Amino acid sequence: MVFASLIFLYIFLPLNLVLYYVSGNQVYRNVLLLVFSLIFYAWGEPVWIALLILTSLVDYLNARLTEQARGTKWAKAPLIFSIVFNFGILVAFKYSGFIYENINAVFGTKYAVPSFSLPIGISFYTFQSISYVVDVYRGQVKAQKAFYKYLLFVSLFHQLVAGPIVRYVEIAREIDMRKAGISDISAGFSRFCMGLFKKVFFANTAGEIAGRYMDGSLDELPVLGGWFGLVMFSLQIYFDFSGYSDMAIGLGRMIGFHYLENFRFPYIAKSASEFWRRWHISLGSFFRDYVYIPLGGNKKRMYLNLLVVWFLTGLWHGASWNFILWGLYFGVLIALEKLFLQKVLNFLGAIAGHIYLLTAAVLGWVLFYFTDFSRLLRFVDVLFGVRGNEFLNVEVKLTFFANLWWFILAVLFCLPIKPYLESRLEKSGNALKLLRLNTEVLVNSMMLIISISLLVGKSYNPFLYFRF
Amino acid sequence: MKYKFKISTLSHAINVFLPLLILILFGVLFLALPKKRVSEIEKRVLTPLPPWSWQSLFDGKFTRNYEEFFADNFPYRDGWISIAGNIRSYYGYQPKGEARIVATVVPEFQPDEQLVHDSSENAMKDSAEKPSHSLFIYEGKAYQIFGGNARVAGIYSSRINALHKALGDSVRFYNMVVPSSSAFYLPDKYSKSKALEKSNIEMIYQGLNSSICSADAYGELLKHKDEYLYFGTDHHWTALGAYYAYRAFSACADFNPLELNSLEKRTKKNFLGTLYALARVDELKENPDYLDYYLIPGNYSVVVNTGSDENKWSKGKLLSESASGSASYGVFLGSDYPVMKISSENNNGRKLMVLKESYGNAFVPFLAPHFQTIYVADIRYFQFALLDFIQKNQVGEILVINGIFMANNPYFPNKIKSMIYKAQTPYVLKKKDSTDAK
Repeated sequence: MVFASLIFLYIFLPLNLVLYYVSGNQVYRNVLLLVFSLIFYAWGEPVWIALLILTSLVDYLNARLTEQARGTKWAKAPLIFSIVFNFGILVAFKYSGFIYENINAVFGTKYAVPSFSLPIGISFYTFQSISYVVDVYRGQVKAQKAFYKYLLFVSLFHQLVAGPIVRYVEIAREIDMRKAGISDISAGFSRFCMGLFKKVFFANTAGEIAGRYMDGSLDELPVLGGWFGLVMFSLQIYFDFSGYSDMAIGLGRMIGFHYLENFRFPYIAKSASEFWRRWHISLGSFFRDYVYIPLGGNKKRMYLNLLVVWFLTGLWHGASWNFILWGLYFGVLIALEKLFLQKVLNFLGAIAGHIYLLTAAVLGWVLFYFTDFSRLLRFVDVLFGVRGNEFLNVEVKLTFFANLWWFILAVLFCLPIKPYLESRLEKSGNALKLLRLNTEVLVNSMMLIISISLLVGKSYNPFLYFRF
Repeated sequence: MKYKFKISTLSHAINVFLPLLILILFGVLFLALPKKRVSEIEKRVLTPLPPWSWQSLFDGKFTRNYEEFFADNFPYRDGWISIAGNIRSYYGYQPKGEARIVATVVPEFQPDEQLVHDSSENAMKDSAEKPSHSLFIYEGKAYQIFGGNARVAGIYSSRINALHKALGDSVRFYNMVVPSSSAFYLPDKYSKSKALEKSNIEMIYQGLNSSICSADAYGELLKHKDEYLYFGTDHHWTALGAYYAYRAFSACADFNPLELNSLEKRTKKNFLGTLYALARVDELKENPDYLDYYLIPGNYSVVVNTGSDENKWSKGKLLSESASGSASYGVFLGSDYPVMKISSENNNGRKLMVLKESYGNAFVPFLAPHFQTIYVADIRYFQFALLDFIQKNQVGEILVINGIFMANNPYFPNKIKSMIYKAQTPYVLKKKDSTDAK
């Protein structure tokens, strides 16, 4: 199931909330959440839910064993086992096809490429599990004694399928003790509506326009059409992903879970390093805390460490070379920034930084978008006019105008306008705060109505060639 | 202080309960309201409640179909859809005097059965670069933009040739590719449709075996381009357009065409067709089409076969005058039947088979008086072994007629090929995965 679907919005969510709040008993609530989470997962992944439960069981036991073995010569054994196990599963399900393809390509062999369907959310929950066992090993958190609570942490539908990568240590206390007053629930709803709106109103539209230019014939694609499509994809991926995180955070707030922010207006960054402190924060911090720093961080072999981390970051996004290239591309930019570029940017000023980062990030999405290399290169050729495509045609122009207001709004939503207004209002009197609250109610309702109608509208699918 | 606290609590409560109530309300309404079977405007069957089985749950079919069922039967769906359309109309602005792009990707024909997977077609499948079909609204009429696909067009010719070869020289063979309205009316600055469609048709015709007669519909339509040849709200042509193509065809098939003024004309008013359904914009709604049809003199016995039994025919009509509203184009032949048999009082012994999609529907009625028997097969739905069928029924002439979008859509040449090789006994086309597994 996904959040931006009618069935989630109209059946799953209201049922979940109502049943959750009919009793104040924490055990009841946790069990209820667990049951709903498993249904949520099984809805889209009725088979691999077994894998989810199995890995949870293994890591639950590993963490308990880690505590038992502390101080003995076996102290590291459960930890190593857990890491090998989780990566093993991730590699088997996500990367085995990729590995086989590469072996076949390099050695000219013809091994049958295994084709698993990728279990939903596997990249997220294996990482959450690893962070849990590592944190227990490091003594940062106590191992969970009740299996169902641990399973709840892993399978919680808020963040199971698309993040953020919530660490156990962040919500360990809230599993047993959490409170949500009406203002929390309200904040949760606001956040959820915002996320839904970002997904349905911005991401879906941007995706539709992006696909039109990036999936079509590259021979007929005008240069500006290429750029327009690419900018649209940049918007799509931001709104899609951050919208999903907003919805997850909002759902958590509704029942008293506080997940850390996953996006902080990444497109206002002034360098690639800063971009990654604002983009998919839970992933960046995972690699920082569990890979980069253990490898030696900035202190030893920094450039090698950067290479490893960014190779893995790219690979995490998908089993294809273009994602690895995309990761390394950012690794190189960050290394250059550490070497000299940051100083140059500081000297040139903020505007130069914005231009640099926006260009770099948007161009980076080319690597992210095309899994097919020949198309990737041809698209880059189009962008820079190498293929001699026409510069602009009337269709691109009209499409641009036909979405102009939407586009301006999308750009505004990439800027931290809401936090700015909120901080201004903090300083003002209570009357204004109340006005703000009421505005919020109004805005939320509007966003919800617009999202619903666009979601229903998506099912509108007239057939030109029909037969009754 | 206490008072203010209460007010903000109230605001919070509204912020929570208003959306929650909306969600609950529509969830309950969904469960309570009766479900519809078909959507008139979309011309499709709505997804029904999927039957439950563990098997369908485990392969994910059940949940997927249930979500479609939910979306298709959402309470007051039509209302929500028109709100969505209105929202979208505020996304930007419309430069004055310019055409408007609305639904920008016109869905291709979506076959309800998958073709038998054939590795030799892989070359065609990686033509994943679909020409982007934009829909332009220009001066109150909708136009599909023809991107052309030279490769598929070449394959189309070669498939027609293959069919011609399979039938041998004893069957006279005709082909007609019909241009779209964009080929005549859309200003050049919006698309290269005009030049592209003309050259595309020329290319197809040049690729045909010399003994196949290609009918110059384009040339004949061009002569009459100031007349009402195409609908503005539907992707088909009018009966008048089809009539001129029929005149072009008479040169190939060698008969004396009926004179237009000898035919009684009747009219269906307020026709908002498929392109309106797709775009749903006011400019089209304010410019509805009308649909003329001509009564064909003579008595005809028309039967249709919709099943898999070659001997089971039921009654059909040349013109189904009850069709109306958005389904008005259904006047012609009634529907897209897999195969239809038209018998006339003309005992000249000529037996024609027409392979067509819906573009052929407006065209076929004119042919009725000139042949003793006409078999009209819809390329998409024809179930029987074609060669077998032609032989058994002693068909002496065959016409393949396609709209230009269809001729350039890999589905059609593919389908023609699979019709040639189709086994003698009718069988249901298997899903791709089940044949692949073997």
